[in-house]
Amino acid sequence: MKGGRSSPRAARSRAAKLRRPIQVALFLAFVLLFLAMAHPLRPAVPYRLFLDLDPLVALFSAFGTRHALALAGILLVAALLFGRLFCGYVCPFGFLVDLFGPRTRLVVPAGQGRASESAAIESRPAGSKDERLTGVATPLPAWLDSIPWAVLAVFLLGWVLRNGLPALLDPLPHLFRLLAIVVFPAGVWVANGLLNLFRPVAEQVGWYGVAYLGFAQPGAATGVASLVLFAAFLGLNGIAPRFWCRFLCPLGVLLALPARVSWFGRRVAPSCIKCGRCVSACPMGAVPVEPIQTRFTLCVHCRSCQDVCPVEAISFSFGNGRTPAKGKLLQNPRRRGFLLAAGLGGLALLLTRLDPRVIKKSDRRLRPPGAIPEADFLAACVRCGACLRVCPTRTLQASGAEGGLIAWGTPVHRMRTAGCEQSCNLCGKVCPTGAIRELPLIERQHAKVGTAVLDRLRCVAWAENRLCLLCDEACPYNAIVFEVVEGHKRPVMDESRCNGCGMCEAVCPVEGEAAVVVFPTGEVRLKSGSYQEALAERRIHLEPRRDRFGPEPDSPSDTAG
Amino acid sequence: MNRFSRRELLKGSLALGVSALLPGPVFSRPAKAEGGRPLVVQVHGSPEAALEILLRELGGIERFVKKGSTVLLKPNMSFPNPPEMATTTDPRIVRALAENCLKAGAKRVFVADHPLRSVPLCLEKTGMQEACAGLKGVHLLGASEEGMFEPVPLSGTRELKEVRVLRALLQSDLLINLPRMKSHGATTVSLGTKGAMGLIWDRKSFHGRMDLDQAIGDLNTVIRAALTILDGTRVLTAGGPLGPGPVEELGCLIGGTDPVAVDAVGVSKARWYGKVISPVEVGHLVACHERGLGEIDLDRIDLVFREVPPS
Repeated sequence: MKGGRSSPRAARSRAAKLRRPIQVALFLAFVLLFLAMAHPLRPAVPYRLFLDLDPLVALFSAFGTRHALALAGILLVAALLFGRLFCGYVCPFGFLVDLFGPRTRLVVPAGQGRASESAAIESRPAGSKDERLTGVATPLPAWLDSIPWAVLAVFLLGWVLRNGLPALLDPLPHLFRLLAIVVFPAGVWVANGLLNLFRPVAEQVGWYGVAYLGFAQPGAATGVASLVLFAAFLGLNGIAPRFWCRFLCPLGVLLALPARVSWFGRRVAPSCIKCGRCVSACPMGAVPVEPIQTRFTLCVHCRSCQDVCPVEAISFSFGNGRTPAKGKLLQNPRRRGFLLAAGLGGLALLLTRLDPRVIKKSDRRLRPPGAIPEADFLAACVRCGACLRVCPTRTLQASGAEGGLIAWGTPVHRMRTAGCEQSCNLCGKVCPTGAIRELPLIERQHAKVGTAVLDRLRCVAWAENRLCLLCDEACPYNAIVFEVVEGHKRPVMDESRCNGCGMCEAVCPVEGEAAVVVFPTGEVRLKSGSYQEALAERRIHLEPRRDRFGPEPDSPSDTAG
Repeated sequence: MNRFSRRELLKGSLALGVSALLPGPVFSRPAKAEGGRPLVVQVHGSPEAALEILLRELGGIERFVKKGSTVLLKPNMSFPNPPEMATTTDPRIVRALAENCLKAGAKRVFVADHPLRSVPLCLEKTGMQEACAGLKGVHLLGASEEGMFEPVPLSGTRELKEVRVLRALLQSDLLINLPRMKSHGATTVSLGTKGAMGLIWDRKSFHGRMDLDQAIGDLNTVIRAALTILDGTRVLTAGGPLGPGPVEELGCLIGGTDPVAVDAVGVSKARWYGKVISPVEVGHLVACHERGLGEIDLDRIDLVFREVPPS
């Protein structure tokens, strides 16, 4: 942006100078809160801050069990006062779009292509080295202006259809997920690799904390697709700066609604010479051909216009002179574009719900303990990946499309990777919508995920008479115990004691698929009420089997793991 | 129960004889009591006081820990369970023993294990983190990465041909094994010799591909504790190794320099799975004994009882 400074006279305002540092600081805060979101969570740290701020996340939390709307309300009220200030200063996704955006491109507001292009070129002083004006002007088609409203409509349709899939476009969960399933797994892999190189040295110099530091490797399931999606969103910058923020961001368009009447914003003094520099400089296309006007639905207060104004006619204030762009939000032919885009989007959402795998619930996905009933879950999960990030064993991974596209990005257990730690209830604590309930340990242990099934044909203790019993060893509830059968110790399964934690599947030494596998059979999904009572009704007892182990009373423990 | 053929036994002993000559910190030779009969001490009472008496009876901690040496304490911290469940070593004993080692002049003390579950959770929930906090020179190590282990070739062994051993062990002058006394589905009990599996990388193959008991025997030919102290404060008599299961308040520590003898005594001190079990019924102890690693016959072990005097 610095390279684009056009006039030495136009001193940048303090806000413009502070914008990038503020963006960097808040982006770092976003990343640090992500990194900090790990065991042990401290009550004083607002780990979910950025997710809780998001009114769209709050929207989907209506289907969940967490209705923390206060922070989300703050953002809407702020937009009422300051317009889309959030997009220009706070949004970490917007920061990346800014950062990887073009620096020298002629910007033309949608629908005003030819006119403003000529205006800009005409106004160019002879022999000017203004880089901002050297780009190739490609007029953006008018129908693009209808896209943001179509995105918002699809979001609301998703809400009506109880389909959380549109949340993939919500920038805050999107970026959080990207960190969780792309950046973090890759980072951990690199960190462990570097640590491995460094271990011998660390031992020599007595840094044992470093020599024996290791991080559980998170999975990157769906990471490639997410990376491609993210790259595509950034790549749209090639069409126009902040293309994502202008046309596709659902949070941006939601904030545009209150921003229309925002109090604080761009003001243009009558001294304006209508040179059109601000029209071209605005990355959001928020300045119409008549530069005294402002499209407050788009302005993110980046003050590029102020920077380039040769007569310093532009200010940002509460003051008089508020001149919104004329015209309705949706004029023909934009209305037709809107109906087409929203209609197609809504239809696509409906089709994902009508996937036979979703209708018949025929896939084998295992949901985290405390996940609310599946229909609500698919509506409430914003796929932010917070649960994937916090899971200490990494048993939680992002689902691909194997359970239908509607379930893409939602958390599922990969028990072969690791079992579900029974003394941990972190996924419910970090879920911003309460798609996974926040439960006390004892309740969470009774939130039955599924039931393990032992395949005696593949089990080495049954098929090869090996002394294995790793599953028996790993089972926290003694749902698998050994019996001496035909002179050999062999594992036997008592389903009535299994909560599907998957420890058995994780440790099974059989190559490939384990000989003991957890299926969602018997899972207990409650939106409210006690899991302990639910299991008691189902005659499932997650206590040690006193009958088999003699008369001794069992040790009290709230971890049972 | 598989038995060695005479030839195998011969070959094994030969290899052992050779390996005993090799240098290296893994191969510390077990010290025997006078007259060749191993001494095992059982002390009842509060853990810290019991440890003091036990160490005194075995000749004092200075007998084992030389000034400026590196000691590896191997407690069981395999699971994120509280010590009350009797599945992991009581952290009070770990702290007291680490302090003893430091007092005897140890340069550094590793408290190390390869937990079966999430390392940070295990270190926290077992109470080890708290127990080791503030002890200068004590390093609590929970292994989680293959890079923390070093391959060691084995010769003359039956099941195990190569094993990846925790590097901290290879850098230690002395190994003190500090297991919790507990039951174990596959190996009946999990005491000192079984606990050696907490210092290696790959354990699944012990269960899935090898004869578990023999592999433990093989492993103990290279991982040899100079001192084994069983945490018998509370004993998980069934449902092990993870629990939950019945816990017996035995209230004692059992220690000695012969790892097999200590385990054999440990086996005889509780009713496992509701019945009395003889050490010779425990496959991996027999396998260790057959490799000349220690005495399994209770009649050939000098057992000394002590009790912490009431204060």
